[in-house]
Amino acid sequence: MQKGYTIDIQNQESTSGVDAKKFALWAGLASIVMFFIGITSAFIVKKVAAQAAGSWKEFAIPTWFYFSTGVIVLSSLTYWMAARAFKANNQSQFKMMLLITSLLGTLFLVMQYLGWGRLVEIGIYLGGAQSTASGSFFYVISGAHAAHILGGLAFLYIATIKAFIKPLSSFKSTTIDMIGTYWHFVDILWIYLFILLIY
Amino acid sequence: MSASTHHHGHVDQESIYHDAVWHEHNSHEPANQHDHHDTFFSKYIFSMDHKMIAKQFLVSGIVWAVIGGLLSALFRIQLGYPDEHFAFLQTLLGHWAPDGKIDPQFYLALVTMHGTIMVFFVLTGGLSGTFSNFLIPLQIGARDMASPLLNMLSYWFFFLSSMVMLSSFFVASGPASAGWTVYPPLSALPEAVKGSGAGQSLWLISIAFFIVSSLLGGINYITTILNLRTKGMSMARMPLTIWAFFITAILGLLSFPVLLSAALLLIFDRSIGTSFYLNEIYIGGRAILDQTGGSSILYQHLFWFLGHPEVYIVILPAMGIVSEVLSINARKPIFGYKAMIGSMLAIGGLSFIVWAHHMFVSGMNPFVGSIFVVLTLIIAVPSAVKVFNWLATLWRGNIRFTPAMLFSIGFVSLFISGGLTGLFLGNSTIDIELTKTYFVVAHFHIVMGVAAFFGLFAGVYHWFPKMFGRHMNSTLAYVHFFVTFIGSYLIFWPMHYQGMAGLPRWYYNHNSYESFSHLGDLSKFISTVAVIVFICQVFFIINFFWSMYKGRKVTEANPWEANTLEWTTDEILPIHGNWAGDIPTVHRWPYDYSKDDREFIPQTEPAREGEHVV
Ligand code: HEM
Ligand SMILES: [Cu+2]
Repeated sequence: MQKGYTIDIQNQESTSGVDAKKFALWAGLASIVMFFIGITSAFIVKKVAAQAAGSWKEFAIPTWFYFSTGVIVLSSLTYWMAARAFKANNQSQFKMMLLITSLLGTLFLVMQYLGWGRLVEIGIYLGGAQSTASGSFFYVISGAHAAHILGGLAFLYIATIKAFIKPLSSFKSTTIDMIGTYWHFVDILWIYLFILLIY
Repeated sequence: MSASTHHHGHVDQESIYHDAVWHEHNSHEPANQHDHHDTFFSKYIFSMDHKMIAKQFLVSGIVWAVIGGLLSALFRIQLGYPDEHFAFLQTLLGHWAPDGKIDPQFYLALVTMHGTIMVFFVLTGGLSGTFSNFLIPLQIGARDMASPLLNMLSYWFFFLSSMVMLSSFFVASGPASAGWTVYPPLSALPEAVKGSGAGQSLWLISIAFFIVSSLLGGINYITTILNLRTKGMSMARMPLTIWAFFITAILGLLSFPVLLSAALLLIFDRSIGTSFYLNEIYIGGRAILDQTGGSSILYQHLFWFLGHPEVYIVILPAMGIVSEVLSINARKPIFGYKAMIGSMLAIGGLSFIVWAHHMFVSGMNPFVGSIFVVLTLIIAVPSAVKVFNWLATLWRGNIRFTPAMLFSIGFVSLFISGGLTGLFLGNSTIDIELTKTYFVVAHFHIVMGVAAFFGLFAGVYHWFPKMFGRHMNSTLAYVHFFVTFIGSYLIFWPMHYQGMAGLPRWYYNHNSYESFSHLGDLSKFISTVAVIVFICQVFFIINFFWSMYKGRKVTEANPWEANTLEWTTDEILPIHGNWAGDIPTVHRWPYDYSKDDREFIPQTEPAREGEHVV
């Protein structure tokens, strides 16, 4: 009589062969893409119209933003190395690379912050009487991106701390893949946004 | 309800995760329905069971519908009887109705909140939230959603959003008053209308939470449908309900984030002093803004990029429900199954490229306008395909006039009536005359508002036995149907005429204009019927809650003799996990009705020798 099957709600087998969690992440990324398409198309339309009317105020982008762009690209590279170390079962390198990625991610935010500070110094404001559309868009777009970095950083920090106190085998490769997908995504997203903003 | 005390003693007490994983050792005895660690909170409040979450959405949606309906009854009283005073209004609304007459600013708040509540909280959250949650796992053969946790969070963001929206009724300056589309500059400046103060801030916060809820839900629905279908359930064998929820979720996933970006820029304009949307505004002859250079048209583009898909987010689930109910109760396969899917995909795709038909009078280049005219009118093609298929499904059917069936037939009628007026409005030359009039109000209430409500009612009457194990009372349901159906036409049909006569929407008192005062009697008639129809919804409300506890018990597993999987669960009220034993395997499409001398053939039945199955 002991037939014994398991009703496992959390881990029903996927019929499509794709991991459901990974799939859900991609769907989430699609919605983030649409959010930025919304904001950047507003930016483009506004810029074209204002340039035609001669009212678009150009300003020099602070160098901090160029540095931060380099930093975020580098962090993608170090995450890639961390993932490779994970596959190679190399705990010490995995730990190091995760830590470096987290620090670079943090550094990116610090540099964005310094960049915004510099903007204020040269008289480019987010709001108020002296603000201009070009400035406001710059703050809002880079700020919304920073919020998405913050989300990724939270997961990176948790993973880093875990890597230092738990063995490598306690990580699921899905988790590593998913953090990677998100982190590379926000990296590429920034490159797109930055090109758009400096262009 | 400790499981160790009853049942058959084989229950494995070492479930890893009580609500999510458990073991059932004996397939011949009833499954352990009383999950051992269930408390009131884990079962009813923080439930991760998709069926309970569906009920949470449904009950919340009903509460919202009552509030939204009440608001419309209130402003219809003002429109029908603009020169009279009603003491009860003052009792109810306090200083918003001094001397029993609704304050003009509060009138705008009522209209705004009515639209917001109905479109978002009832017909999106209440409709899609309820039936996507309830039916997706049950009809595709899954134990639950891909992520029960995200699913629970989706409801709780909805709840949070509801609470914030509700709280806006209680701020001193009143709730948002700039219309459900909250166009700036009106929505940006408290100097323009009181509701654009704290009320509008709460509106924006609430909608932001609502968007998060929709996205969490949508991601889950899409993932579940693509990844967790049972064996044999190919995409081409999914019930049309599931196709509808699937396309709805994709539309939401791609359009709601754009609304979030629109709202974000509006929040900045309102509180940080940016000027994305604002430019040189004078109120009472005084310039009230330091900053200049924004464009309010920009907001309209961003808003309608969501706004138009949103109307299909509302109607597609209703279309899916109606297709299913019509086929079951006509005892015929749905006509043109593939065409139904194709037309939904076409409608979904087109809905992203027609938004500017809401903006023909925004000063856009007429050439651009004409492109949007063409794109808009193309939507009539897939819409007509659907209508044709519904009618063909009914044609010579062996029709069972259940309450759900009546509401589905009513839906088809409403969709035809309202769709036809869409063709008028889709032509910019006609729209320029009719826009912002009651003609538009008539169009979208018939084709979206009432029709989607009919889809909701059809769904509730049809799946109530599966949700609560009891039947609703049919007599009450028939009264509910006929009053609502006839009443809705009596309310909205005359509005076309008012609109053609030029009567603008949003106006507080029609009688104060010479040109419209002759329409006053018609307004009075509309208001009277509106109040009656609103009151008649108690037939539904009472029936719903009474039947939950006292309705006739469902005794047969498949009361409607339907083919889909939700009727194959081991228990009439399925356990968390849906099937106590193995998940059923699917062998055919869901529409084998009246085939080979059989009334119906469930999806789980294997093909007989030589039988052709879809
Ligand atoms: C043949 C199909 C349809 C066409 C050609 C069409 C066309 C239009 C047009 C041109 C307008 C703008 C009117 C104006 O503001 O001047 C409009 C308004 C509207 N339509 Fe439709 N429509 C169609 C079907 C639908 C459906 C199926 C729904 C919903 C399920 C819907 C919901 C709405 C809503 C909500 C509005 C008004 C929004 C507002 O201004 O508050 N329409 N329609
Ligand atoms: Cu539209």
